Amino acid sequence: MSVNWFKYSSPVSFYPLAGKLLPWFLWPAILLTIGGLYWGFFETPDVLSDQKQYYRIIFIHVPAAWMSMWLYAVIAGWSVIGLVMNTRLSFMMATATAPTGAIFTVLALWTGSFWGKTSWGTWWDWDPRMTSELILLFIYIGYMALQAAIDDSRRADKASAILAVVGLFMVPLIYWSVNCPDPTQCAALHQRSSMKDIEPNILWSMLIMTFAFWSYSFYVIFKRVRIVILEREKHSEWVNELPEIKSHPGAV
Amino acid sequence: MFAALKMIVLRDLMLAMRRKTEVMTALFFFVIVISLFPLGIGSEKQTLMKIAPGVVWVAALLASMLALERLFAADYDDGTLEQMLLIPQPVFVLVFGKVLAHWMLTGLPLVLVAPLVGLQYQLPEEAVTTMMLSLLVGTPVLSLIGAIGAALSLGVRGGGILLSLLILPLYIPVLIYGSGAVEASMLTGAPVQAYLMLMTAFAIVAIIFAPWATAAALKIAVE
Amino acid sequence: MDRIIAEYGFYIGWSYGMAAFLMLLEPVILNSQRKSLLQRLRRLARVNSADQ
Repeated sequence: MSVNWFKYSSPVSFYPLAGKLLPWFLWPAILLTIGGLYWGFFETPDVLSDQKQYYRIIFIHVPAAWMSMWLYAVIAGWSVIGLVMNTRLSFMMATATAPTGAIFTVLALWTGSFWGKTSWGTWWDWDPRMTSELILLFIYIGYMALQAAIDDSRRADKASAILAVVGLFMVPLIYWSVNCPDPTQCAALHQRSSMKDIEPNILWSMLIMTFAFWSYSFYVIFKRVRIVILEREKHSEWVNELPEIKSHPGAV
Repeated sequence: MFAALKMIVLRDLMLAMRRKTEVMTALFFFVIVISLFPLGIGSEKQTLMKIAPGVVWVAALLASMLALERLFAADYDDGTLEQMLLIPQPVFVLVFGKVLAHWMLTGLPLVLVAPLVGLQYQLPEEAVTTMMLSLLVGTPVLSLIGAIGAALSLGVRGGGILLSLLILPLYIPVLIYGSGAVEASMLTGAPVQAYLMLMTAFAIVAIIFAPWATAAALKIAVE
Repeated sequence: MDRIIAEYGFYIGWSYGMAAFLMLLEPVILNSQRKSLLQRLRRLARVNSADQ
């Protein structure tokens, strides 16, 4: 089992594997999204406490927020692996994951803002969770900016990896400090009811949408990492031997 | 090891003394920014007392960041940094020494200038002492975390702005609790101790972990 | 009914709309990036093999 694993840890072998796996992630993403939204819109009650239909935004907002956090952890994970084992592909995966994570963060903020307008009356009110999400966006942007600013790809990889790991350490601290600005008690502005009180159908829809987003993420990230691999390895033999390059010699 | 530490700190302090203007820049920046807010927001006593904690801490963050660029840049540019990384002392000592010198030049002056802020913002005495204490405990954390950013963005184009982008999110906990401490000191019965102890904990954790990350970043920048 | 749709439609529509937009845009952008990269690489390969 471990032999197979290391075989795919080089860009050369991962590139075709990722390509083959793409449809396996695309179709589940589409189907799960359709299923999740159908369940969310038709199998669930019309109102949630005082929110009328607006609460349906939750089926995008919560999964997006979860993805934004998990993908950051994924970046940190690949960064650690890359730093410890010095594998190029790990760094490439981290690089490929960042934009998707940032997009989910933006989506969480956007949908959160619209939802907030309906339930709290304002587009933005420094609710701890939304504020933390905004800070997470800054952290993503910082990560991508650092990579973009350093020309040497080895240095860019390692530097951003360190940044990601430092960030991983700091993110819980930041969340905590925003949530509990008074160390002796935690302020909770507009905290919604906890998980166990949620009607099961709503919870299920959210979970299905989360799986849909995960599948979508794999699809998009694998697509992107293939581009990153091609770009980085463009001077090597195996790239020039690829069918997509050989079969269209010089075509524009 | 302590000899090396002493040497690094003294060297940086001496170099800074030769260019006094650089040291003064951060301090004056702080004072100017502090003075700007009442002009922009309003100088009513209530307003001033309300905004003082936040304003002081944001200004401290910005002043700390301004001075960070130069933490490693000069040594990097003339090759000294590479040499310093080769000496048999652990890189931790090098980083700690430079950060300590940096703090003495940029963080410590803020602590000493705090009473001036108290004067401008008409703060009560407890607030001023709390402000000094919070700055005393908080500015080292700013220098320590900032050093990580400085090392990561060493020699990279767009350095200063990039540095701010990287570090300001990481500064947020210090900002929240630092200003929270000063705010609490102006209310009766609020637990100022809790804030200060929390910030001291930050400082200790930062002293242990930040130089390590900075060292890793320096090695990457230099190789 | 129309009024309800108009009222909810705005918020729900913009939320889901943005989600659909972003999540469709990403693959589209990636596809075009890949295309232009492949074009570049093909030209590069042509230049290289011409040199040999």
